[in-house]
Amino acid sequence: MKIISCGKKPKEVDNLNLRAAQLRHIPILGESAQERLSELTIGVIGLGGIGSELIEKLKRLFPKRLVLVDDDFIEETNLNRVVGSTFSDAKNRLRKTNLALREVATFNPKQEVRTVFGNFLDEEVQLEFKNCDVIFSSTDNVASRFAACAFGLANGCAVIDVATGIIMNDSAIKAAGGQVIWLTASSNWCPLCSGLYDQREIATGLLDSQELERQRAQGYVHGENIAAPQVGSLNGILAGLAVWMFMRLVSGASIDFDGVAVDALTFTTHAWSEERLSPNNCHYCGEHGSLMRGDSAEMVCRTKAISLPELIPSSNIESLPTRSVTQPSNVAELPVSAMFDLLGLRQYTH
Amino acid sequence: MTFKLVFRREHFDKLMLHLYADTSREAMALGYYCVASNDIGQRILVQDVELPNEVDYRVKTATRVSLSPQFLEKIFRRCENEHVHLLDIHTHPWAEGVEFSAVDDYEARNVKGPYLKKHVLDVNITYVLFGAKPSDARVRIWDHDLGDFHWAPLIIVW
Repeated sequence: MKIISCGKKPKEVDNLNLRAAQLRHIPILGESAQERLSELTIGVIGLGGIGSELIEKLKRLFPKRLVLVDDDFIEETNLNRVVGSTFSDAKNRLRKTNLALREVATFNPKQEVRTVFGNFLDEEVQLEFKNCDVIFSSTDNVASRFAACAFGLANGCAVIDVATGIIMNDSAIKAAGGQVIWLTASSNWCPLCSGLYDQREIATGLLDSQELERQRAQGYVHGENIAAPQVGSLNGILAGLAVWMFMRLVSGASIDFDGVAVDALTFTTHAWSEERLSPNNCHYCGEHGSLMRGDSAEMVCRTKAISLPELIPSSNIESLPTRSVTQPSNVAELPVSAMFDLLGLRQYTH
Repeated sequence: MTFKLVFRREHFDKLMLHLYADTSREAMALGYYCVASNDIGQRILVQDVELPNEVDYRVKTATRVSLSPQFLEKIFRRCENEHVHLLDIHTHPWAEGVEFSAVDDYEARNVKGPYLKKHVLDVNITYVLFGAKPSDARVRIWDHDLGDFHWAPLIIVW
């Protein structure tokens, strides 16, 4: 990522405390990168366990603006992981957007924040993110994660997707970990054409409520409503990794991999790169689809009746490539089976 | 309203190679863009860049640069056909502090802007100026209705 300031004077530091607050990370980012970061608008989709950890870290980078969305309320089962949540919030069923706003405003009353109580799969919600430069995606379903990726590719904003998961086998932990993936308009891959996201889950998530009920009654809906175990500590690790990745990008570092998986049982980290299609005819990340088309690109949202073939207009499901990944040269050889165990986690949490 | 200009890395790198190949004279390039907008602002999303050859220039000196009408005509048609807007890019390779010149201002306000409004359907124009270094830049978006410019404080290259 390269950011060029075009003549506008850096924002005057009118508050000495703000300067002091930035002092310890400016050596890492660089003085000019902090100034440029202060011009960026950052979106966070999903304000649960991971999203609240992301906000906790992002607010301390002092971006120009935060745009935050969630359609859920604080409940008792959230209290083990949602940053800042209290028993009183759960009792009052506080909106997660209001909790996020409270957390940010308490920390920095001057921070520009826009909160949207809604679902990212709705068109009017996506419009609120049109001005974002970077979007962090941390929702609990693959459809909205995919919608975030499609939105980012179409609107020229980077997407950093953060997920965690824990799989239990009887009373033992079978697998635990998470992943961070990032993509931009220059990435030349996306989670749909790479097979990273399950297409049936995407299609299910895009159904409107009536159609979802019909398909659920017929037994077509799978993989939803699984009460997965979740912990704040794991969310914090992955959120921290994602924000660190963002800081490296803003400071101009090149990151030569597409994702990082954390195996929380072996305490190892694996970076990987996705296979690029050539030629790339993907509707979302290829040259001739919705890439960088902005307002003229069709949004992926649930208000439109969309079927899977329409979701993948320039190819068909059978012809999508088998998923293959490569490890960047600077990463030590690691057991691939361990990596796929983690990548196979579909119980995204928030 | 805030405005930002967004390039894909491959387009930006190609553009820089072209613009700074010969810094003894000004250079020019054109581009096509779409817009992502809401009530907070606009992101100018560069779709492609068009790099003129020597024969496509009408004037190319140390202090002046312009493109031939034939070349421009081809670009305008593509804008109309593909429903994209026009990016007008040039350099002041001699400039220490980069600013659009009085000539740039005159042409933008009285020639290019009005011509596009009258003759090229639904196509807007954004001007980009690079100075002695690629990191010295100015971006301004012509607003047909306002009859004036919006300024973009950032170029983001992904």
